[in-house]
Amino acid sequence: MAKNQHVVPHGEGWAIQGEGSKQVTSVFHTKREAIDKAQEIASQSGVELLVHGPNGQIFRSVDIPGRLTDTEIRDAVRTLARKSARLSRTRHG
Amino acid sequence: MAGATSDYGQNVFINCPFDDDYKRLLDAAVFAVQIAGFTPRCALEASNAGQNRLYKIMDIISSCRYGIHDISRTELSLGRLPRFNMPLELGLDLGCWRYGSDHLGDKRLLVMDRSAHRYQKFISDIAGQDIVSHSNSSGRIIRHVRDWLSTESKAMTIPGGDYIYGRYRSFQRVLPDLCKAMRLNRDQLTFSDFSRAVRIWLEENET
Repeated sequence: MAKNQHVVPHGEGWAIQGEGSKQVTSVFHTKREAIDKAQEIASQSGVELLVHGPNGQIFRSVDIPGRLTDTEIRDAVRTLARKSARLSRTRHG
Repeated sequence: MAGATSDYGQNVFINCPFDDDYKRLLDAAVFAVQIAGFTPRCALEASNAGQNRLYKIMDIISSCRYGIHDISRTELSLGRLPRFNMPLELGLDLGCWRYGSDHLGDKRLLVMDRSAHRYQKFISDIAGQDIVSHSNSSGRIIRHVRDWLSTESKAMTIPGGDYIYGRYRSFQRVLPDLCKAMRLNRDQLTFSDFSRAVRIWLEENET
């Protein structure tokens, strides 16, 4: 049976770990890369993606449908982050 | 009553007003619950439940180990009638804790009002519960919710109150632009949309 996929802090980077496993399966430089890969695995296996915070706490939300999908919300969050980074580069350089 | 669901220990029932004046305080409570690693639940999930709304609320209450009850807005409304939903849901949660099946005996409840001891004038029977005042301040709500969850859950992973409040302010600053990127007005976000937006923003920005 496939395991829920956790994105966890790992040294200087982030890693993917199957639920209940002691070992990580993949290591990434950035959290975003780890989330993307874990999301892909979770979607293919029909399991849950659980993303940890820097202290190890798991961020959770209510599991009921809204107007938007998680993918649409994540795209919006990332679009905003890209805009903010562009603005910051323009200001500083 | 059925046994505990697997996420019972992570669920936090938030019982509060849902009007526009209170929205910023509800947002603060939801944010504090989520950054602490818990799942906010509330009666808004039962919005489309029709005649079964009360049963749906009862189901939600029994699936939550933690309950946050804000009784700060119980005055007469414009129609000159008091607002009973918050005291009703507090009563349901107290009843669930006291009379529910065994696992519900470990429920934890936090009662909030806008000033200390005001409850004694209209709902004095709840004396002895964990009752705090928030003075209609989102910062105070965040710190109360954070400290209470930390104490009751004994979780060592919950960040400090000042840190959470700072992150909440950051989220509030980006929320209008985030809504634009999602092509929705803030008023159009459902409870689920808002809760998932908080989670995903935290996932992407708490690194």
